[in-house]
Amino acid sequence: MSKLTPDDLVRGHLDGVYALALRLTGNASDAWDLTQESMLRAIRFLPGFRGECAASTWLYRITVNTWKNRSASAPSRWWSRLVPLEAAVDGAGAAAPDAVDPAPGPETAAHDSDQREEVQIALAALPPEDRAALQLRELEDKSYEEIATILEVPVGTVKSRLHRARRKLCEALRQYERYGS
Amino acid sequence: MNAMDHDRLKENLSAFVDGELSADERRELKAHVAGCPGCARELQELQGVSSAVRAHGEEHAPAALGASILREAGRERGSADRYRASLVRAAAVLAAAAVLLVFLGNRFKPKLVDLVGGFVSGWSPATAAVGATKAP
Ligand SMILES: [Zn+2]
Repeated sequence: MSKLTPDDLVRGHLDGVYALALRLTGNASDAWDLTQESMLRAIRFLPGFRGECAASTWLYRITVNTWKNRSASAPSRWWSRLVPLEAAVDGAGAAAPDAVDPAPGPETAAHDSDQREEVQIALAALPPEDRAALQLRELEDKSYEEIATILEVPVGTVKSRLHRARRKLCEALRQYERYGS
Repeated sequence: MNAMDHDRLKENLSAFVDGELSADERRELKAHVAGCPGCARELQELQGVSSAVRAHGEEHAPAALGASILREAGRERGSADRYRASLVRAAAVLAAAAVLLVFLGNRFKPKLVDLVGGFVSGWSPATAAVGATKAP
């Protein structure tokens, strides 16, 4: 196997690490910091990476670890996780009617962007670990085994966490159908 | 089927969607869902939520973030190299000092022998002073 370079890591995995960081922290500015710190740690550890697992799995595990260390060392960050959540909900309420591109677009585009907003808001209401598990499952196609490795929890916990997260999302999205648009 | 068995099957619906059940569990759940409208509906909802997240949950990193990481990694790499270079310099200085000590030691050994000889043949303050200042 050819050696990975820092360029390879950034080119191939930046979006994935950033998306996971966004799910863990809940806001773009903390996600930027977490991504940068995690990627720099990975680049430092790179000579020791032997390819025992997919590079993305290894990177995501470092990201989760970095996030745990950060929240442990800075308890005040608990607040920063709560604030953007409210902001996101407020913002969505205010922006909803005009959120669509002012240019006359097809009906489906409007519906699509509404649905995206609903999904994002429903996701924001979940605990960070549940959001991370969903992200890894739905958008990274990771197996339960890999998710367990990344989050450092038993496979059974991954299973019940995903089930719980999806049930809550169902309910949140159902509320939208009932009261929304 | 008792309520506990039913709960266990219901808990498996998500893993069913993810293709994470064993062949036996799969078969058992399929058979149950075929005859249980509640689980059939829940399965449909879970699949709907799964595809909604897949369709609308993707995120892209800000364009400047990758460049910022590589720049910082380059800086770290540079300072690690400088640190290594300064260690090599310090080691070279120490090695030179050691060589000098050995050299001086060899050079002044005869004097030490003389000094000891001086003790044997008769001590004088002058030879003692010379030995003391020149011995390493
Ligand atoms: Zn049932």
